[in-house]
Amino acid sequence: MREVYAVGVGITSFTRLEYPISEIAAYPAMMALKDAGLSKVDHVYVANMGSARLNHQSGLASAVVDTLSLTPAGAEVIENGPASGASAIKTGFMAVASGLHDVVLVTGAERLREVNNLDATDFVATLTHPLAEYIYGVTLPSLAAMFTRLYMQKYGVTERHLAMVAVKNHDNALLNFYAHLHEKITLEGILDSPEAMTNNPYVAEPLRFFDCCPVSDGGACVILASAEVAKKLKKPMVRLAGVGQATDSHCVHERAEPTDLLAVRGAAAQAFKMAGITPGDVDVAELHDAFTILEIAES
Amino acid sequence: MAIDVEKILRPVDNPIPPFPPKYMMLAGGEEMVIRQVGREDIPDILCHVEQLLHVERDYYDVVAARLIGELLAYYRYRVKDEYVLVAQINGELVAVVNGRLLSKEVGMSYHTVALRRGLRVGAHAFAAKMEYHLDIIGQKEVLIVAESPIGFRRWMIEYELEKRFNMAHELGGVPSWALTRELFNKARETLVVGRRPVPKHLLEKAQAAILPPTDPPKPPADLLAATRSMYDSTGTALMAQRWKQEGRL
Repeated sequence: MREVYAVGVGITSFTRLEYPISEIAAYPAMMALKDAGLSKVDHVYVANMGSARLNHQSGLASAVVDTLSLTPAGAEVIENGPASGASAIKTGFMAVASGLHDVVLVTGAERLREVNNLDATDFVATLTHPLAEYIYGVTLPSLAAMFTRLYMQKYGVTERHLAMVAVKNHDNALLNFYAHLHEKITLEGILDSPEAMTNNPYVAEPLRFFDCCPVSDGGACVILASAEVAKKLKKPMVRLAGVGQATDSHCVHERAEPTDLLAVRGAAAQAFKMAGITPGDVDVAELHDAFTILEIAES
Repeated sequence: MAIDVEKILRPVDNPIPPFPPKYMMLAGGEEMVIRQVGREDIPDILCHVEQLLHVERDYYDVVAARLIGELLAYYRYRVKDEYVLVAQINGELVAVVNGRLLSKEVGMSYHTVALRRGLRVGAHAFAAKMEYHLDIIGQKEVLIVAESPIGFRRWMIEYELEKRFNMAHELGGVPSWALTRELFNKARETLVVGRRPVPKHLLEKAQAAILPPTDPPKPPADLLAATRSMYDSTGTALMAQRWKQEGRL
């Protein structure tokens, strides 16, 4: 298996973007191409979940390739729910590592704010099992709330612990130009003051407003290349040392221990093994999820 | 005999009780004071609202244009029974709300403008306005409309307003919605906050000066972006222009 390097990156601000979804995917790609010093690639992978249903744009990969004038590069959409971005990077990694392609562009975009919050929440809820979960009104916030209840019972996590995660993440966002929310929040303001319940109401008890991510539009791109190409570009060599992916049962209630995120654990184990390191070797970890409780559970 | 035209043009206001100032803590830990202002304060507010005329985002431009008209009409005695409340953090103007009495029993909500986004500044100020109409003046209901989808979510959905579509609202003549005393009581526990009396140091700071907003809503780099994007099937040129202006391309 060949080594794979990230040679260019691009990102949009995460906010409401009143532009076609193909443009939101294309602009970070333009930035990444400029960053890499490349004008063409062998293949394009576009990570996206909602384009066809929410933005009236199917075949998004072809639209993005044409927007970028990268034809006749091959292209496809990788749809894997909220893991679409990571799945697309893994697919791009496999394409380069296998020797199928030398340079691939992996871009991802969503434009969820084209619809109202209720429709966006309903759309994301289609991730759930249609007969065992969705028809009973389950949404991702309500699933996360039930997960939180279990976690509280089992490990003694409190609403204060959740709020501390939100405060920390909002502080970090103040340093990030691309973050959706640039607002400082405090424990007193969202938890302890007489106004806290209005400032930070329950969305799905015990999860409150600041425990849930906002609905954002945005995109990001990374260009992956073989070592041979990366060396020619004369850029800092950033190697993707390991990737991993795993799944768990579709219905959360069928999991033997719902608070144990076996898929996350399995995926991480694969990535650590491939990289030849242990968690103790990691200096910085960035965790993805939509609710504060998941940061606690995943870390 | 000379006729004093001004006496004819100037409406006679009905006496209404003043809004007792209140304060609350925001999510960021800052304490916000909401208080009533008089005509003498309007010039200090107008200059900050004027900036929003150029913010073509979330209908700030439309709302600012109308609010300036309403504030000027109040300042120059061309509207009947209007009031203006402001929200301030350390003296800084963060929200303006206004309205008037349509009759003794019915209020007419005009505008709610947040000059600092997030942290429910506008929502708190709107709740104070409703409290003024229903609790302090003692009206039976308030007629409300929204120009922006954000306003619609905040008022029509969160307060579960009743339709009064037979009543044209003074803002654009569009069908009205109503917040009744019953609906307000339902929302009171979750949406209406504030403590009284306001500590002396907070009130004095607010009354000393209406300071400019430090982080007001800003226009998109392309002033017509929101409008053009409705008709532009590609958006390519617009987005390229915007990102170039932001130094990202």
